[in-house]
Amino acid sequence: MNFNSLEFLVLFLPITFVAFYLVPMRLRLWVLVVASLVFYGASGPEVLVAFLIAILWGYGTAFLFGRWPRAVAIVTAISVPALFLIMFKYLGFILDTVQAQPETRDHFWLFFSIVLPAGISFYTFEIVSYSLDVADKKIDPERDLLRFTSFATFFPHLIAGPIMRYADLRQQLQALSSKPVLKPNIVSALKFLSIGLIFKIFVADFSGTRVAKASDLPLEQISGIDQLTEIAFWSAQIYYDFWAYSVMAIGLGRLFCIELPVNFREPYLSRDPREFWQRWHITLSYWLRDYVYIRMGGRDSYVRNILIVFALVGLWHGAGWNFVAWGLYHAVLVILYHVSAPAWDRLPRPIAVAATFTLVSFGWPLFFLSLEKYVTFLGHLVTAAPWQTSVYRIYDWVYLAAVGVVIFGTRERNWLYNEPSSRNLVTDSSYVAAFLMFIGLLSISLSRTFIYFRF
Amino acid sequence: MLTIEPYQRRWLLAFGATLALLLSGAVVLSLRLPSFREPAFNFYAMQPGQIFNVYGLTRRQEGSVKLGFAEAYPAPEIAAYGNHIIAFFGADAFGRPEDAEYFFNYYYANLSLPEIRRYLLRVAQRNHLPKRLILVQITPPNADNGGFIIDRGNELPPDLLLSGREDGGDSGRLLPMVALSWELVSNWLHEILNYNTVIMSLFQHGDYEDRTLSPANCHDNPPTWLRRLPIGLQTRLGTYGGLRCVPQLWSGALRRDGSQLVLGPEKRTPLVQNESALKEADRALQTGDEQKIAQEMQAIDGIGRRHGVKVVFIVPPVYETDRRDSVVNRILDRALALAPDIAVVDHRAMHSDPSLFEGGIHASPQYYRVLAEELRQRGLVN
Repeated sequence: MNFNSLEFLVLFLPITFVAFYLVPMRLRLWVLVVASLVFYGASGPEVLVAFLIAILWGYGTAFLFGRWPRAVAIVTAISVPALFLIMFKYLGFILDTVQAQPETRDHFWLFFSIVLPAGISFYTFEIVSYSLDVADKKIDPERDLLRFTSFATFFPHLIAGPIMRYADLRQQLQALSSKPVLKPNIVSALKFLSIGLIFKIFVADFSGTRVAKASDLPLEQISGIDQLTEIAFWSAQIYYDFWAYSVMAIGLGRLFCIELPVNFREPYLSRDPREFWQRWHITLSYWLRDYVYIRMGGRDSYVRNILIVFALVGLWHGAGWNFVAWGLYHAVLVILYHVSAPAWDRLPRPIAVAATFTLVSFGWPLFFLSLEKYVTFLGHLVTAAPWQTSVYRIYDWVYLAAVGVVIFGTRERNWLYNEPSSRNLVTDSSYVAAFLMFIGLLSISLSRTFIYFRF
Repeated sequence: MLTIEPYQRRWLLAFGATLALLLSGAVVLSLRLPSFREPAFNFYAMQPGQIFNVYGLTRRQEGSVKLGFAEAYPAPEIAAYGNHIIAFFGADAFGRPEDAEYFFNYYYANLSLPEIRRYLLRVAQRNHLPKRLILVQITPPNADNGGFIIDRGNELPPDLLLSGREDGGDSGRLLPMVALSWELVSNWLHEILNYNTVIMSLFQHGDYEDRTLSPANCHDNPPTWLRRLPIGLQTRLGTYGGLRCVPQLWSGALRRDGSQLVLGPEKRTPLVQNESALKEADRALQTGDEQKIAQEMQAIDGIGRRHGVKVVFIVPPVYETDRRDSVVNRILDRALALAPDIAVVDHRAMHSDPSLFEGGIHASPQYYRVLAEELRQRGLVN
């Protein structure tokens, strides 16, 4: 099930909300767990079973720390979730890479034929982080299986993050089952839901359809300006797809008195590639920093560690060499910034922001194109007739300009994350929120699955 | 229990009232739309060469034109049931152009096998099944990455969903009842909460008579002033202005035998090989679906058997490179192996000849002549 579906917004969510606040407080977590399993189970019973096994494994193995040797306990704890991730997500990539014979593939038919479990990369990282935090004695193993399960399954962050740490949610979950009366911030929840839905449909998905206008054609039929426009649409599509999901997730969390962290902090306003990763998919960046980069020595072997971490970032995003290349492309950008920081930091802010945005944008096609096609794509950009546009029209550029105004000309602290005391006349209006929700509901048939849905 | 501050309470009241008002408006508007199902349109009464223009109809209405016809009038000797994949399957494939009394194509939107079963049950209840042969199209897996084979798209009117109950014998069991109720509500929501329904309810006009026309008599149209406008504007003005003879409006128009009008070469979309990229993330079939597909095929075959009509399943080809090893293709292979007694014409291997295609996933009239010839050789048609 997806946030941008009528079934979710009109049936599942209201039913869950009413049930959550009607039951006695000791049953609230049960309502969340059952609802989340229904939400996830809509993808199929096989993936639900795999998910439940991973949760139970993470829960059970946490008690091995202190009893078994640390390294053995860590390997044991992360083995099953990691194995599921490898088998479901990376098996095809591995077999392709080693050029396995069809007979070899047939042995793994079960894993190939099950659709990639939604959100597997997210929940695997959450369970692994829990195990490592217990190993590091940052948290105690959770004895309450219901609370642990509600952490792993909580549907607002289940499919596409943010990647939560148990320490961030434990107290909030505890409060749900101990406070007789809850005070949800329903106003901001509905505001976030309606804005997220509108941006998903009318920016992310619309940009996706405009990308397809050029990407469906042979390269020789499109010009350089068409390609640059296509890249701009890709930049809008990917960002607002992730952003909209995260904003809706925050809103959904608030409906149930759970505060989820902000995962995207205006990343296209970053001054440099390193800052970009402090603003883009923040919970993933911090996860890799805490559990990979620092454990490998951090700045002691900066270049090596950055290359490894970003190769992992690429692989986490998708099982393919194009994703690895995308990760390494960002590693190179970060390293280049690292060595040129004194000069880069002297650039005027608008130029630094424009340069960072341009460099990041040129990486996005790797999300959608194979490595060979990406190279051909760039080659065509250099050699194609630059200005004879054959695909895009003036209204495409007007649209992109409008999106650009929102990205570069507004600050989210003024219209989205503003305090109740400084209300925004438009985005905080109940009438506007209702109208946006109505338009969003009517237009859901135009919407597509979130890009991160099967990550 | 929850407590809401006074400011939030006022905000929520305004939000709820506004949303309720807007949603009520959408419901009222959607109720204004004619169903195009009753009274039924009679394709048999069309003259050869005439078309039924579907431009400006919602998907549900477009399907209802044929559903109403199927309910009100007996099917001919041979009938095809499926979705847009077989849109260009006409009676000319059998050498009898537009002979609706011999062959009719009941293709409808994006119907999948469970929906076709329900459709056929309704037709069978009315004793309007074809006399000799039921052809049921299975969406080729590589056309839509396994989509529209067993997954449902909320395409049928709600009353047809209930037809499935009578066949399944699930009426007394809790889970199927919950699933059916969910499906009914979901079906209704998708029809009501749809921008197309709302827009069309404001602008749509044109009854059966207006929509039936002969392109041959349209040589003086569209008017010169209209032809000078951009095509997009011509289309909109034509739709909302009731201009019948604007060729741009004939996309999807139906012929007398239920098949879709083949547009001239200048209006065709380019033929794209491997139109569906078969991305893993979009895959719509997975392990376990083999059984569901086989069960649906057996249930559909059972409808034919009960009424003494032969059922043959068709898997048309897709214009593609050799992608027989795709996961979705292999799942269909396994499903077909689970139903060895069912008659299937599987033409997925005919994927490389461009003349057999009208679009990347739509077979051409030329293909249907090949299909008809095979049916003839098997002794299924004369």
